Amino acid sequence: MAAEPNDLELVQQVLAGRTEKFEVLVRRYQRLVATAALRMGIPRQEIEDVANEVFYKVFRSLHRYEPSHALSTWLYRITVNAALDHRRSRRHDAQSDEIPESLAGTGPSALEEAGERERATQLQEALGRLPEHYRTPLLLTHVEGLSIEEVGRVMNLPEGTIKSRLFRARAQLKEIIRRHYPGLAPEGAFEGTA
Amino acid sequence: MSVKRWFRRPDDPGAAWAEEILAPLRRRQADVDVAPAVMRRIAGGAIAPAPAALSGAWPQVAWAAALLGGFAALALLIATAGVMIAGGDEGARAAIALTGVAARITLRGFDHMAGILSVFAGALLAFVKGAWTMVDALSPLVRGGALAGALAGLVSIGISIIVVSRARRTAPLAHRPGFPTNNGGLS
Repeated sequence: MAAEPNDLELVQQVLAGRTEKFEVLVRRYQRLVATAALRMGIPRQEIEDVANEVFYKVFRSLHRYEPSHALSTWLYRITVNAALDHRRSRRHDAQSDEIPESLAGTGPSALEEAGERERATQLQEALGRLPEHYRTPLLLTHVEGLSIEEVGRVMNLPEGTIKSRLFRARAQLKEIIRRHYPGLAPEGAFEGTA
Repeated sequence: MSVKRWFRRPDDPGAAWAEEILAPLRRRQADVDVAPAVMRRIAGGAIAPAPAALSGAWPQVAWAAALLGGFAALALLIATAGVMIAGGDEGARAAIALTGVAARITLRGFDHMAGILSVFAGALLAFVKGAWTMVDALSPLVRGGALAGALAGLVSIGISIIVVSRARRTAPLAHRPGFPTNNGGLS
């Protein structure tokens, strides 16, 4: 069986005119893009639109891709920008985030799932209170698991700035949770704090 | 580098805290299949990605061509001016006359500026000379003052020596049995 072509090979093939190869890239990364958009606060029912827009932008600007960095980092960058544009244009509040899926099941797993979803919704609300320039590095680092260097590349900012924004973002999120969503805090999280 | 090892500020709850609090978000996944829609959109829009950037050799060729073009334009300009001057062209004569006038005006301007500078330099020199004369005239006074200061210093040192030696002679003996020590105890 022939080995799957890597990202760079696929990009080169698409740039050489083999447009159909772009579908392989889309299939490879659509889950990453959709999940990142969801975690950035895009409602589930609008994820497809955002992902579609992201891949269309990627296709149109594929010649600008720098092979020295991972394609996923570049995709994160475009996804973050698309998600922010989408949020700005729709003026969504965090509460519109989720349309509750069927809660017909009454077993413990369904209840746990509902609780988890509720926590995630509250978390999105709490994150929605953070300024955009703090929320994005926080999500990319602690949710998407990107390194500081990668976050810097995604946001086009120096690593020092990312670090300082992370400090502030965590401090502000802690304060927001303490004041407005104490149920989200892990046990003993605010011991010793005023 | 692990995110948990970063420097932590006092008000920063830390990376571990953030990871724990954001865990529900991390568990969220979205699975979509947008490939057919994206490919349809690309096909419908009949767009193609822009061609790759020019290869490394092209910019060098462009630079060389631009440089050559610049030199060729300069040579053409000089040759045209030469032909016009040699042919006694009216415009060329006017241009030369104008250049001569401009040069004369510039030189006159420099001449005026040099005059102003020389006046300023003369005034500065006179001031420096006057200051030097004053210092020269007052030098015996300054010397006398310095001598008096030195003598006063010597007298002061002598008095200090006398006072200290007398004080030592009359001072009580330290560490004598039963005598209070510096820290309040008895020696």
